[in-house]
Amino acid sequence: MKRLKRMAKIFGTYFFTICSTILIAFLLVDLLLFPQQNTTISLMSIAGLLILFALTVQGIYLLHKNQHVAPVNALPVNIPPVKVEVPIPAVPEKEVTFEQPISIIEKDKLRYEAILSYIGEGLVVIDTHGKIITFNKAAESLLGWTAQEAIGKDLTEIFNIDYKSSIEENRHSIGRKSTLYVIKKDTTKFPAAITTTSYGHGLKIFGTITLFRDVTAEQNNDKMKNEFISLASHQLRTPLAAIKWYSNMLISGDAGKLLPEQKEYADNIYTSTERMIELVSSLLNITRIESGRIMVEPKQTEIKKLIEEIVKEVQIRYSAKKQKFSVSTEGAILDINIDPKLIRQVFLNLLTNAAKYSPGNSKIEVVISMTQTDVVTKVSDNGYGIPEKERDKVFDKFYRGENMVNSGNEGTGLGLYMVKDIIELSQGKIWFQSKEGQGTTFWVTLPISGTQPKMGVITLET
Amino acid sequence: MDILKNLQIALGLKENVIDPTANPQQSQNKILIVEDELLLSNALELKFKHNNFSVFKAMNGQIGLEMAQSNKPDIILLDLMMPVMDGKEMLHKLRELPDFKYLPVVVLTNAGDVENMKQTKMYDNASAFLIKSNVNPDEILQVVNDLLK
Repeated sequence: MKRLKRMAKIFGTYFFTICSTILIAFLLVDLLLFPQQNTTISLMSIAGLLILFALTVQGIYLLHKNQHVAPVNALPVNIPPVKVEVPIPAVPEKEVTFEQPISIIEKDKLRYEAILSYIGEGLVVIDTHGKIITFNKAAESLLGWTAQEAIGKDLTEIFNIDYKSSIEENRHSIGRKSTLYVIKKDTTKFPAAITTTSYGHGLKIFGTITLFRDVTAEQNNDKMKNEFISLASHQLRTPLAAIKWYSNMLISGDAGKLLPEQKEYADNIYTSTERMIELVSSLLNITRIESGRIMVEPKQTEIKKLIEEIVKEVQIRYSAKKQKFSVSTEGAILDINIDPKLIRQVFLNLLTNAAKYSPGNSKIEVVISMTQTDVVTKVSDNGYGIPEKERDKVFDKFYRGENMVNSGNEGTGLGLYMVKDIIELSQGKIWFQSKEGQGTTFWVTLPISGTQPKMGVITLET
Repeated sequence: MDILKNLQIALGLKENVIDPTANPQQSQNKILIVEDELLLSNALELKFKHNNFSVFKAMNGQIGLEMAQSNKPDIILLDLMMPVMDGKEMLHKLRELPDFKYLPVVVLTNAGDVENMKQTKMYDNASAFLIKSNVNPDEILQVVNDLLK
């Protein structure tokens, strides 16, 4: 290859020059000396051949040279590939050439556009000036505006919330899930669940993304569920009352004196019925709380007195267990504005749980103290405790500790759920600490500033 | 027997002396149970008959009003949730009748919001509010007897 190259180099250019020079010299001499002879023609043909040969060799030489010449458009090798930081598509780290980046970015762009078009939630993206830059299909159908109409406009022209009716609605609900009413193009409204987030790079914000969906169906489902539970519970109470009455009359001997065994059976029927009645009551209370129709009527209440009364009740009920109850205070406790009917339910539940889930002869303590802002009540027992892994589920509906469900202890799992709701309604807080096999302590705080009164239709079952 | 006695009284042959032992029914207390659920009204009937009450039953407020006027009970047990005419309406209409303005009426219901009911003035002069699934017939009897004293 190298020899050919060298040869070509020599023959290519030098040869061509030499030959051409010789030829021209021959021709001139010939023309001058022998004007008529045929040697001119033969000489010319030899010249032609020589020129062809030279050209071929030159061509070969040039071709070989080209193979080691870089193509015109590429960058020189020692510059590193440019790293482009784009928030969404990642450019692969390769030597960047002009043909490849367009296709990868294009492909990603197409992919994300497809995703945005077809996700079920409405998506509106605005830039830093508040102008809409993205408006997906779901947003079009939810809001009634087309993407063409929306893009470029200010967000407030297209996406509006009816705050007045949202506040109205939330006044009657617990407020855990606050719904906002979004106004469509035709001025009708729908309840929506909305999430917003900004996106950017480092300290620079590029825009804000708003995702939203229509929750009308979810709300309807919740409402129907509540109504169903309420209706079923009411319907259940009549036959439950009937069983209770008849078994009570049996036990009283109204239908004749019972043999001891008969009385035992009747007692069991009576007790089971009482349990069912309590369960139905709890269910009804929950539906009432969830419907937001519970009224809150705060009045100045002496917490210590309230708790002492409840302790008495629980003590009587669980007298067989011979547990020791104590109620004490740390310092003076102010009377605060709370709804006694609701707070009564809270402590009744906590103390009943303490008694229920503790062994006989154990100690149950209530300590009331004050901070700058709240009245804090601590209820502690030395009972079975709450398993560590179930910590987060304690306040869930129907939650009962795994260690309790199989122990034969009665319980509906609805108590703490309701307690948490009431505490939230009273603007207080509740939390606990527990060790399985050792005991549990619950803390309840109620603000000194008092509970806000709330209009309602109904109170809780006692 | 009565016709003969009445004739004698009318003719002045016999004085109209009311013999308390002649009609033992009159010393019994009369109770009107207004309740649409048969299961419950039967249980109550048994309880009160067992305790020497004369028992009348009505299935709704309309019939209840009629029976109150015709049988003149000493006390009424009143359910609230009934068809045709509910307990609240019947009580209201009852209180408009002069004879029944002060008749003791025990509202016996499962309709839940008893606390609220007690506070509103919408249950005209009800003597007591009891929740069916929270009380026993014994307790109902006690309340009735207390009100009749």
